[in-house]
Amino acid sequence: MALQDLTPQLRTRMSRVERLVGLFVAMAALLMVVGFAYPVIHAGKKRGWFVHKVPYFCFTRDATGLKRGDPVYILGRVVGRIMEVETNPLDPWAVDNNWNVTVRFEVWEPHFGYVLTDSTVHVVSADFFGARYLDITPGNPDAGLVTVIPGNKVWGETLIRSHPNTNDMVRLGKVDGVWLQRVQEAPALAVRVESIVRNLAESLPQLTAQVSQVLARASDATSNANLSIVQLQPVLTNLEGMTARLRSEEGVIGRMLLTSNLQGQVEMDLASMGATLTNTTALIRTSEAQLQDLTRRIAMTLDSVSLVTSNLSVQVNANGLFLGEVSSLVVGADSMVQGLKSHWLLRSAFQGQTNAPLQSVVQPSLDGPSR
Amino acid sequence: MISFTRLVVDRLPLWATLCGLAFLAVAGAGCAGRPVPAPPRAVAEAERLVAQASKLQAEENWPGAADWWRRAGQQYQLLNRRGDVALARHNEGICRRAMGQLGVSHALLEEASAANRDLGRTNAWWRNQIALLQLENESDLGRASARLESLEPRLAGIAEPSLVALLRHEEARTRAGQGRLPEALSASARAAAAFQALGEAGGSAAVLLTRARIFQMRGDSVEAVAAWREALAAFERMGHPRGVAMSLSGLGVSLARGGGTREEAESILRRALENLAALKMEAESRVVQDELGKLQTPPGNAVR
Repeated sequence: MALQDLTPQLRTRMSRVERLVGLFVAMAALLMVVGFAYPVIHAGKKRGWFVHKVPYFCFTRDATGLKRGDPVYILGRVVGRIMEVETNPLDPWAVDNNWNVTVRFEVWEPHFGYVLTDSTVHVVSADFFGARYLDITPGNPDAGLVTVIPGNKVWGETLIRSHPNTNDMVRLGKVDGVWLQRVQEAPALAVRVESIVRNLAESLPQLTAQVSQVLARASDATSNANLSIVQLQPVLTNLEGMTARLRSEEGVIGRMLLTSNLQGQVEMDLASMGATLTNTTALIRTSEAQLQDLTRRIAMTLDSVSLVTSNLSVQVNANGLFLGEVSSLVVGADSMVQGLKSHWLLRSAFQGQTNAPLQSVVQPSLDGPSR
Repeated sequence: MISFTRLVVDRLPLWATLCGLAFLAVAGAGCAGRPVPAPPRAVAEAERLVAQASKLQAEENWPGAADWWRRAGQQYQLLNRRGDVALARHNEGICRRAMGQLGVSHALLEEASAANRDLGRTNAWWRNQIALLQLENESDLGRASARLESLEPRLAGIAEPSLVALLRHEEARTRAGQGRLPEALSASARAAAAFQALGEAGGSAAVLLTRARIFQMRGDSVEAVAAWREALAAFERMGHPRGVAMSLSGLGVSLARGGGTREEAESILRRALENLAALKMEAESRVVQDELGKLQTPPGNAVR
């Protein structure tokens, strides 16, 4: 029914309702927009839609488990995404270094502040099905220089230090990519498990052969042990009897080891040994007394010798001039002889004998009979 | 003056005159020459060491003589008298050789030879070379042959005839060692002639020993026995114990090897063995003992 068909009263009442409905619809629409926008914005933040990103790239040996859109981690937190995984052309430089795959990824603001030139990209296994992810270690702030300087907010510009020339600042948008050279690549878990299983499979036959050998030898040893035990049974019985006798009877060992004749002889020998020991003791005592006497005599002799030498020393000390007198006598005699030598009358008597000059001695060799 | 003398001669008795003359003669002799100044203390010490070493060497006290010669060498070294150092080294080398230290002896003789060569003392150098040849004839025949070959062209340069005789003797010994017996015999003949011309009985007797050994090596027992006996007689006249012992041992061995009767050989070998043991000549004793052992083992009972 058109609005102009309604009475003026009804028209007033309807416009109020329409206003309310309009308001409701507007609010609902607003709520819907907010409801849609919030998760979209949140997802965008999570995916880095509204933040600055710094592109990086690195080289890996292979692309197993890496694909576009995989997260990039720093300190266990998602900080970026892999943008591209491409194999490299067969460049000798790349082949030599085993850099077969280029992985380009981006790190979002503000996390690229952690990524410095000495950061290492770890390619780590994610699960048992071959998936891998990138985990970047933060760099040393004193060493690495890739950083971000918040730009002038008025102009909306953000600058970062460029790589490789870290003294230059460039606008973020102009950076092609920072090359992170340090890469540590672990093979995928599945690959490692496969290699372990392969090694096990190769070594298992040898192991089983050795185990079977050991079991065979053990069974031989067991059967030999059984035989030995059977043979030992009479021995054990005899031992049991002997121990019973030992417990119950005295002197059993002696009676077992010695015959009756020998036992008597041993008893006689033991009896005579007592007398021998007594004699020996007396002899030792006598020798000791003689030794003491000898020592005393030696001491007396030494005392006499020391007395003699001390008397001699006293006499020599008393006759202090004696040696001096002898010395002066010798010197005087020498002076007299020297004087006589130089005297014209007796000079010729002291002329020294002139011997023939010495020569190196060579005597003819003496030969004996030949063998 | 004349009248005074005539008065004295006429008045004094003969004995007084003769005493006076004798007194004048002694006085005149006493006036002749000034006393020889005493040498410096270090030189006197070195001369004393040499005198003592020579005395000990003459007495064949080899260890003592070697030590004194060493000390004399050191003393002369301090005085920088290289010629005397070379002499001391040579004589020490002779003593060390007698003690059986052949390596040390060789080194000492080489040192003396080098020093004498540098100083231009030719005769002393020849003595060193002959001593080295004697040593090498006992220890290293190859080296002895090489040395003899190098010395032979220079023989004309020897001034002393005694050195020529010694060198010929050593040449005979080297050739005998090489098995060149005819050359050895001719060299020994030349050596014998040289020693005889010099009147050196010791050298002649030593050459006889060498000739006897050559005859023995040639298998000529008769000649060998004759030569050994002649050498024995010569050494007995000289009173040379080592020569007598060598002669007896050589004679005994030659007699045992077909030159004479078994009893005579055994008797001589026993006497030789006693002498060699007393003189501690072990190498020669072993030869004699082996020969005695062969004599005493009946034929056909050799130990297998």
